[in-house]
Amino acid sequence: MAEINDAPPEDQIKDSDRKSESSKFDPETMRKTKPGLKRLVLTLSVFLSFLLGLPLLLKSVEIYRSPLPFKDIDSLSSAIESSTILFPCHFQALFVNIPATLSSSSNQQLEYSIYSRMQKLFPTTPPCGTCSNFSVSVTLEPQLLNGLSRDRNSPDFDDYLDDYLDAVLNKQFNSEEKVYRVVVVNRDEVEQLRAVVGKYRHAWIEGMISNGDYEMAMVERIAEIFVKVFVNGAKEEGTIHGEFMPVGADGKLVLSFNLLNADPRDWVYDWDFQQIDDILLAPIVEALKPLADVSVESQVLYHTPKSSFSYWDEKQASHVFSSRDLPFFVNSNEWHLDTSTAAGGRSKVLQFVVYIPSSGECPLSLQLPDGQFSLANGFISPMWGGVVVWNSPACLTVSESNKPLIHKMSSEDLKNTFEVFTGQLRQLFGLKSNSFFTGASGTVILLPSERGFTQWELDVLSRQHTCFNLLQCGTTLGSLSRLVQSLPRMIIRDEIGKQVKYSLDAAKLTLGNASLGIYDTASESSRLARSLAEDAFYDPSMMSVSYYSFEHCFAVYSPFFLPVSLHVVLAVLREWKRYKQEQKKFAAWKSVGI
Amino acid sequence: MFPGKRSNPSCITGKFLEWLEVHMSEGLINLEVFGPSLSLKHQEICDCYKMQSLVVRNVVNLLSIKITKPEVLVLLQSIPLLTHFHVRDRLEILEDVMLRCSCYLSKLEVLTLHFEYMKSVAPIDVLTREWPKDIKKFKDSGYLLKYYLPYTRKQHLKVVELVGYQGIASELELVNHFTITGVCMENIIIDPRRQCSHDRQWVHYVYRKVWDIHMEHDSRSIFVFLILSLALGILANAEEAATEAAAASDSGEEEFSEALLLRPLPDRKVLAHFHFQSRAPSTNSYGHHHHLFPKSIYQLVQKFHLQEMELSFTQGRWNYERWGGYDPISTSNAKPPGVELWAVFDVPHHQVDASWKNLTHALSGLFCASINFLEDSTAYSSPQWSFKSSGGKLRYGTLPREAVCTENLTPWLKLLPCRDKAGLSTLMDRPSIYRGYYHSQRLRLSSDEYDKEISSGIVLDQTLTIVLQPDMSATGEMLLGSSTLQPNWSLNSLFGRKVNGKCVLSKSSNVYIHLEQNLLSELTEFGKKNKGSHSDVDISGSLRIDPGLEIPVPPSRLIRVGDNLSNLYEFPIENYSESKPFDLGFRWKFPVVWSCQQAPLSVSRYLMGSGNERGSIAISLKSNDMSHHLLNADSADECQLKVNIFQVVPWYVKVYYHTLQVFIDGNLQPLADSAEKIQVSPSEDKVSPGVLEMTLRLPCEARSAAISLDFDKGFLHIDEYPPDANQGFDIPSALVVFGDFETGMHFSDESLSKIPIFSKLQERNKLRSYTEVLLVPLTTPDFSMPYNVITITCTVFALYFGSLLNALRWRAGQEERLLKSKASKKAGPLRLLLRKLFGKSTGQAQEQPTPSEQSSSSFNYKLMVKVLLVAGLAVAWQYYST
Repeated sequence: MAEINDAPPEDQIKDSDRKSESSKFDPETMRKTKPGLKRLVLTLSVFLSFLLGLPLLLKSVEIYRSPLPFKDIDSLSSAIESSTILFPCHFQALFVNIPATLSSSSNQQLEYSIYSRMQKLFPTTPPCGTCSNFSVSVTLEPQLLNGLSRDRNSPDFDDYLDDYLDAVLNKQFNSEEKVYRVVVVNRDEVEQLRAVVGKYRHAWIEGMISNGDYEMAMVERIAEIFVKVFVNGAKEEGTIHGEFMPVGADGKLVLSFNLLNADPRDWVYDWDFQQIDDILLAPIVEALKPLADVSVESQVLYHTPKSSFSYWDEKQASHVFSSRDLPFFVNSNEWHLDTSTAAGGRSKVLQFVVYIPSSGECPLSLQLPDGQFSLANGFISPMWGGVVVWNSPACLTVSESNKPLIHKMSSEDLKNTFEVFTGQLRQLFGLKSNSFFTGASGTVILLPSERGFTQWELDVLSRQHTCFNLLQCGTTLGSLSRLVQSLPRMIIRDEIGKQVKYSLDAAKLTLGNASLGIYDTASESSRLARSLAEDAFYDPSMMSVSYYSFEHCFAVYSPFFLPVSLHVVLAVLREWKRYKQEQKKFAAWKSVGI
Repeated sequence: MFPGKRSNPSCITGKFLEWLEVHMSEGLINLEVFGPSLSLKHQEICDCYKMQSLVVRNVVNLLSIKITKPEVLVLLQSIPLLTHFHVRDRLEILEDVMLRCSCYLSKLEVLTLHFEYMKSVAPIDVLTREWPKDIKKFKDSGYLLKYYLPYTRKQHLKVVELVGYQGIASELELVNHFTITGVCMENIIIDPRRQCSHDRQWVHYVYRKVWDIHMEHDSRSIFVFLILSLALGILANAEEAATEAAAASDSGEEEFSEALLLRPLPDRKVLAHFHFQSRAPSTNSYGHHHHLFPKSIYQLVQKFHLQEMELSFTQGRWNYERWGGYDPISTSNAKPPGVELWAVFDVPHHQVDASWKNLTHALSGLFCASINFLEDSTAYSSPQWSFKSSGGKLRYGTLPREAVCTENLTPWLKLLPCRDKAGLSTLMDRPSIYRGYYHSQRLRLSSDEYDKEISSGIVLDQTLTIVLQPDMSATGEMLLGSSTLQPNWSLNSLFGRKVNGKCVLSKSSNVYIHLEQNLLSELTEFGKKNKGSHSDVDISGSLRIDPGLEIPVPPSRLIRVGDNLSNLYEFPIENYSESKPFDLGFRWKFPVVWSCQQAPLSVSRYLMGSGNERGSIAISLKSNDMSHHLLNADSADECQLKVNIFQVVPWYVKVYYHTLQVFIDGNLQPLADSAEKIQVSPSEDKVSPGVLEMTLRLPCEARSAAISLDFDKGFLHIDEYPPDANQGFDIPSALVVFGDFETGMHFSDESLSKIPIFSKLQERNKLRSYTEVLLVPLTTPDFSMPYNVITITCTVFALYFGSLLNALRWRAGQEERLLKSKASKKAGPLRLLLRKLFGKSTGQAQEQPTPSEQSSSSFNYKLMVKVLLVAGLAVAWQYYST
């Protein structure tokens, strides 16, 4: 209404002006009054209020994202990537009876020579999970072996000595501290140097070392045992790398043992698994406890032929399955090995299979690539498990009876088979399955443990495991942060934020423990860090597809904002244009008037 | 409707006959009396020495029967008012005397059985709902009776006195039977004295011997008080019987067994019922490692503490009318379409739901099915008593729309040690079994692992029930008379495969052919009629198969089913191998028409009402012939039929339970009169489904009954609509349980119960039938609607906003000036052209063009052109887009 009332006076003024100053005044190009600002201000205020409201709107449609510590994640992953995790290690060489030639050189000299030798043996870029800033000490312990009470030539002397040394050394030194020791015994009657690594954290070398030539050899030996055996786990080239440790992301491992009767119409074999579980597997499960939460289950399956064919070898009088075809041995169509309900989530299942061939392919032997036959008659598949072929003793004497008998595998056979499985499990964990290690300076005998894993091997595994877990945790968190940053409209719940935070805390704790050399705690916290990181990454809310995309937002709001903004902007532009034009007119009139 | 003497050429038709007496008739061989309209009250058959069978059916007014003749097959069916029943003669051999009074001998008062020189037991099956109250009447006559009492709760039999106890094995069996079946039994008095002094044989019984066998049904332990004992070895016998009964249950080893039961159905189809049972001893005694029992199921039991579980995948609907509604297979293997899962957990109450949720996920992974949808609390319910009484630890859920196919069968087969590689399961040729009319694969698990005291381990029953149509072309063109022959079939023609020997791991593997009672009686009747023409009565091997059939493979034995006179033929497949596969042929010799035994009421459920707002559900129960005869019963008010109904309704069907109405014979009945017990848990939106459990008491003479419930259709959130929402929403099947009826075969041979399929068939279960699944159409929104709404509101807002802004900017004076100046100007060429064009039609408008009018009319033209253009475009769009 106000505008309508305003308008006529303007015209009247103009009309009166026209009458009086018709000669000078051109209504097309000039005006006498100052153009009004009212409408311009109005449209501008609308426009500006829209602009001001825009952040509010954006705030209101914002989705909830728990703040993630991106900086910490980046620093962690860069810390892990830039420097591999190394543990401090302590080594000690004990001389029982020092030879005369060596007595001249002091302990410090020996220490130095061993240290320098070891540094040469260490690779320039140490792999993850090995030792750094190691210390070597040399001591004289003349009374160490005085308590020995058994004849040296008795067959199980090595085992006896091992246990004896463990007891003595634990008494003498602080058993809490993890120190790797080599005991050197000078025995003139032994020509060659004989090195044995025990089940615990020590080894011994005996032999004639009084000769000066042997001094360097002995130092070499000691350094090699320290570096290659105690630090690197006596690994050789070609074994499974530590990154492929068969432990699930939640730190669980299920060992699933399967007895497969290829064709029960020929014969049916059964086993007494309960006994095996109690006697052979329980110590292994116990030994692996610091590494993984191991559970054992078993089943017997029938009608499970292998999926590839073997050929009959007359010379060997057996069916031969060559290693070329090994990838086709496991018949995933017929072998319903099944994951178990015990292995829920992301735990790892290792399948161990005893395959009993049918009478048509019995006896069955596996042929190695070099033409030899596999002694264990089995093979492993990394991260999957192992297979052992067990030929029925009734193989050659096929009875024509219609009814198959149900046999039981003899306990002797079972024991042999499960020893193979223990070896396979060690291989799957990346350890050696045979009992000696050949280094540059000679052969080292490795005493096997009845628990399947010796203490120093477990140390190696736990170091590697910690390192691998941390690496995995770092990469998982890194990809999580990249994902979250790349999808700005993804909802992130508080739980994920918490999991990431705890995972980071655990990772930091691991790093701290690792630098202090506390293996067990480091291993545990690294497991926690990894599983939390994986939990966060695989959280169902993160996986959901229906996150609120920007396109969606645009599609919902554009029907309103597009037409309205068109109106507002055009109105502002027009008003502005008009105002300028009118201003010009007014200026023109003024110039004429003056 | 006439009473007739079938063997005689002439029929007697006497509607008003009240007293029928036949004495000393040489020619009478078979006598059948039937028809509800008969007024026959007394019947007496005496001294007819050639008589073979007496059948009395549906004679509602009959009060007494008296018969004196040995070796007569007596069949009594549906004689509601019978009060006196008298059998008297010298019975030397009694194996073949079968008295069968199949139902409703509720009025029986006196049953006299004079067996004077009896040597063995007459198996007399008296199936009554209400046991005659005065049991002592029996002591006058029967010493050697065997009653198969049904396990009804209403059993009031408390004292049984047996006089003239002799101590032979069959008598012990009888006592044993009483202790098992007599629920309320307090005393069994056994009196070895012969009361009739004329009997010389029993004179030497000096002492009176009384046994009180007291029974407590909780602990199922029997205390035997021996007051006075005779040195007759009775004690030893009794102990033997007791230990045998006790030792039946536990076995220390894992076991697996397989069986296949085949049954010809009246509508030219064949029922095949595979049954596999795996059994594992308890963990405490046996350990965690198994050789036969499937690992995954064992882990399931261990992880979720399952006490019982049943999972069924079904396709098709069991036809209760044609395929039978009153036998163990239909009761326990007829399942609602889709997936049905129920489980009883042995965990504290607050953990049951969590266990159920985890279980559904585990099962859905195990069986490749969407069972995990039962995890949602709107999808499952916890029935209190109507489904199964379980102390609140039962959860029940169904997925009516789940499609069942091979991906569900393969994991199911994986649980069998031989899978489908050997044994009976090789018959499961996928195209053949999925071609059938009904297909139900079922997994039933029961475990007492968590019982503290005794634990017999885990039992896993897997059944596959299919109804197949044999190939009709193989039957040939043989026509006998007007009716065509039933199709002949063989395992090979049904399944397209033969059995290559048994699964070597199975303890027993047999194929059975089951011939129902009605079929058997038709066959015998037909056989007798055509004896002249069909002289070649088939005798294959040592066993006689009914003459109307031809089965090339001789059965190893014939098993008579005790209580309904049906036959089972056993064919062991043990001795067959790949070189000599087993194939079972089944050929009909003449056309037979028979019908299956029906449930007392046939159940159906339907929807009423139209539109998308409201409707109502009705469950109708129609009486079958079985209870027809009760129509004219005099004292009908005592006879009542107990029916449990269990119905789960999803929350979006909002049932108003106050509208529950019961109609009996079309008349509305007050709810309080007919409903004995009702429990309702109303649905909560998006939280839980509604559950209705009720027990109806229907008078026996009712021809039909119906209950109806009104409901409103709810609205779902847009996220909650399933794919293809326009198809409608399923209301799961209702379950109707007939509380008074139990199914379960009875075998005279006790050793049969060790074979798993027989122990399952023997189980006494309440008769149950499932109704159809209902399809409720709900209002389904157009799923682009929200966006359309957004768009249109935004457009309105934008229009309003734009016009407001324009109005604010409006300069009235200036606009007027602008218009004036425009009018003075010459119009453009296009406008001139248009004016010319439209000027002709508008005529005078061109004559006097005042400036203002002209502008308005040109404006109108513009508008009109625009509107026309848009309309034309719209028409063209409509035309071309469709």
